[in-house]
Amino acid sequence: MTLKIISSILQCVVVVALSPLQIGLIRATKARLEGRSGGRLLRPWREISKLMRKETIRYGVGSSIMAAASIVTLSSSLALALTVPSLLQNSIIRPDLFVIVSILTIGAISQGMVGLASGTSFGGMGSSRHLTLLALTEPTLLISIYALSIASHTTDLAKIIQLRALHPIEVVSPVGILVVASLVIAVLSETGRLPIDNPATHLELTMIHEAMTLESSGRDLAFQELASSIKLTVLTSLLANLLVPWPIEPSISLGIAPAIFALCLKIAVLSIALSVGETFLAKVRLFRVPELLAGSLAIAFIAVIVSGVTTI
Amino acid sequence: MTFFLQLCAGTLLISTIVIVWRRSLKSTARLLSIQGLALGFGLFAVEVTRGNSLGVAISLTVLALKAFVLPLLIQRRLKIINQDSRPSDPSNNELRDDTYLNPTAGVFISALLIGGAFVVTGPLFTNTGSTSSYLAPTGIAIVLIGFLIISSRRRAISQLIGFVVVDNGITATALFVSGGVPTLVELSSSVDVLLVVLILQAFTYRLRDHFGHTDISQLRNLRD
Repeated sequence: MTLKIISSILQCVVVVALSPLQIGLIRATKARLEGRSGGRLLRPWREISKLMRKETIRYGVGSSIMAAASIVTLSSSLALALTVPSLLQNSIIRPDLFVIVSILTIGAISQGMVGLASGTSFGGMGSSRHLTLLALTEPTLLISIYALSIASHTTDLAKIIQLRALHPIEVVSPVGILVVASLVIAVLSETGRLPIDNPATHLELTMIHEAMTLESSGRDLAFQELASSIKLTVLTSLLANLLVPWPIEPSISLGIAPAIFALCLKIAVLSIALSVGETFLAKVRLFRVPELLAGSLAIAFIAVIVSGVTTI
Repeated sequence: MTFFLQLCAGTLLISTIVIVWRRSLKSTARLLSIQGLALGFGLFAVEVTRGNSLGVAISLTVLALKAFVLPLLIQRRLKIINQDSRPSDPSNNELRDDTYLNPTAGVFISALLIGGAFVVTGPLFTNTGSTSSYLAPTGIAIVLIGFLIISSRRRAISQLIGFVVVDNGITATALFVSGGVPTLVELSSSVDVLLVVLILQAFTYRLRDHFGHTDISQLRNLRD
């Protein structure tokens, strides 16, 4: 039991430490590709620590919700980092598919509350868009991983990854490829990356995540930024572990060092791929985003049908 | 070998869905070449494990035909169309195809087709003696989706694309059921497809010369 607690906390610490670095790496790669100077690796960490020191200014009316919702957003991301098997298999909370999607939803809804709490039009617009996309993204996440769980007869993500490590042929099966394709779109939407949302923009009419954090400052903003970067890291590591399910230790041991190294490597590769992709992509028009997400939902649905028929 | 065949089936399935999804004809040509690559490598893997040197050579020819020659022909056709078309008139943009279905409906219908193919034809392929025969419904599904593409698009060039998709589906079915039809048959059928594509290309060109567009939805009834 204590071993489980320690290993979960270790995993959480590693993921939290890595997450702003991942953002830094993405920004640095994009800057390099676009021929700009700038984009230092440690910059996001420095930004967060700077925000933590700054004064937090809140509206008189919406303050309690604002403060609470930021904390809930951060804690949902931390719970995600504890639960999702990015480094170790035995976490203290069983990494059930439905638990993970619920934690994600809690975080997303509290982020929406932040946008609404300030009472400005941009915040409300951001929240409404965010929640509309949420309604399309969560089912995709649920259904696509469910397609994997049909074959492995469990909704436990750690066990699914374990089974994929035992039978690597599953990774390239038609179901596996369909699941990865729909998961990639769902993860991009969930973490607010291009082509669904542009994380670098502050153009009022197109932003989604930035619109919700517009009125936050100081610690609230630091919490929200950290929460969104942790979410990105956790979901990338989940994707990476579904694709390359190898060095994941059952619990804390000496094998943890190569596992951490492998995790860093996997996240770095995926981040660089993401930033290269983002350099070539333009943001999709907002009214065409549901089309994209419905397409990914359909692909996930196909994956469920195929895996249901082939695994009887 | 199962590894390659599975990868081939997955790639084929996903590229077919994306072909239904996208309206841009340029990216469709690129996706066709991805399909050709997947199929060609599947055939190549099968022939290499059989150790048949003539088969390997033929599979490489098929790969070159399906992955490079056919998509290049279609791309060249698109380029010619693009040069001719008036860019000032966006409704006459020949690089995008209008469909009777919106993309989401198209993808959902193809989801149903894939499900139907797996449910109905899955049991047919259980005792064929091939290890990869459980993948065969993928090929059937691709044939069905190819028919969907042919029947739901307006431009003549999309008929061509749908036709190539149907042919890829037939090849895929043969590949998964029996590890590929005899290679000579495969080669001759691929060359046939090439011939048909060339003929259809000339046909669309004449169509365009004659009517000024290739919208086949306006060819439904006779005129004086």
